[in-house]
Amino acid sequence: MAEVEHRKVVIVGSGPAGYTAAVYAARAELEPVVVAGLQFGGQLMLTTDVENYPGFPDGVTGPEMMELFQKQAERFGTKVLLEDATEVQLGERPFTVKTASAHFTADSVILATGASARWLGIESETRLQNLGVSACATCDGALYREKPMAVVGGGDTAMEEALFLTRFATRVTVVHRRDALRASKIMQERALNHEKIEFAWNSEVDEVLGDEFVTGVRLKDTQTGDTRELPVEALFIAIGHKPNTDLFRGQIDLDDTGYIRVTPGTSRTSAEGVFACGDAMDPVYRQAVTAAGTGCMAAIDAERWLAEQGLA
Amino acid sequence: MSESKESKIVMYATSWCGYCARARQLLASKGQQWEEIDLDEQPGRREEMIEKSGRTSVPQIWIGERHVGGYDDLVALEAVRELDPLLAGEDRADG
Repeated sequence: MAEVEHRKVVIVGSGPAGYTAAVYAARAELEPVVVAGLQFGGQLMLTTDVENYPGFPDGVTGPEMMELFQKQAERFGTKVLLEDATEVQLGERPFTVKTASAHFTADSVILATGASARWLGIESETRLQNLGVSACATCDGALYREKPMAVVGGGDTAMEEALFLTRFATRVTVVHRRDALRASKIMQERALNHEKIEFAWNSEVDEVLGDEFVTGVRLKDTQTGDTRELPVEALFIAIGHKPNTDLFRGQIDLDDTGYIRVTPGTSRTSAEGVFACGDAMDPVYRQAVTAAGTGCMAAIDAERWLAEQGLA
Repeated sequence: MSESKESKIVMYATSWCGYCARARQLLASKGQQWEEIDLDEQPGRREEMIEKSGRTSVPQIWIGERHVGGYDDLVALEAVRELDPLLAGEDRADG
């Protein structure tokens, strides 16, 4: 059994929200530990070029940026643990957070577990994962040089993936259920005007085709029900995200879609001493910079609360 | 335990790939070194990776003789506490 270690602040999650909370908590001498999880770095690890984070006029890759965030947090004494939180108890104080090798008790907890990509949930998608089906264009796009590819989705992520894939693909087909995109205007324009990108409107993926590797997709028209086959060698899924909050269900208030509820204008959750930040509590903005901003709020809220309790 | 027992690690990767970055950091956190084949620099070796692994995605990781797979497979081994013994060369190769 792991020895129990007590901390003033335990931060669960290691995207921009978690690491920003760690920078502020560490500089406030709260000696935070970040339970980073095995999907450490969060969604930015799967992002190529971050062009909208202030301070990087020439852009920065997601993995590079997350390495910098981590270094900055560690510089002020944050301990980073590359293990998943397996059990989190938020019902009574001190709170507890367990991993495979560690057992923490904590005066306060900051939840920064982010969100994960959704999958279509069809059998052929699962069977052909890593065989042409991927949720990460930046990982696998370069492996299909001079091949036709498809992206499923209509939001910013889907447009970003499609635009990235044009570096390699002969053609990128964006498959979208509706006849209009959800993506921001600038991303829509870039994609709609790109000569290598075409759109399959009112279409959903009925089946991913291929025995050994992806050879195509069967698309179903959402209006007529007609099906057609599109030959592609890679299929990238970009249909949105779900918050990673299953561990907290029943312990703090979540909204209908699983996002952590906070008191507006703060990072306070329904459990006193538990704070939330980043995509786990934000269904609206979901940006690196807003995640970092709410991470800062969570650390300041935690510090003030600890001081009020005489625990800081 | 003999000195040469620790398993040699080979990873096919690309420079953009976040799962590759995670695999590097997880292996580094365990004090490991590895041989990395960068498919951006050597795109011709993609076919070799597919032939050896049966997969088209990166990273593809071998520990000793054993094809582990990608980062998720590495994590699955870590979750059941089989990664450390495998890195220490305590696993029987299953090809």
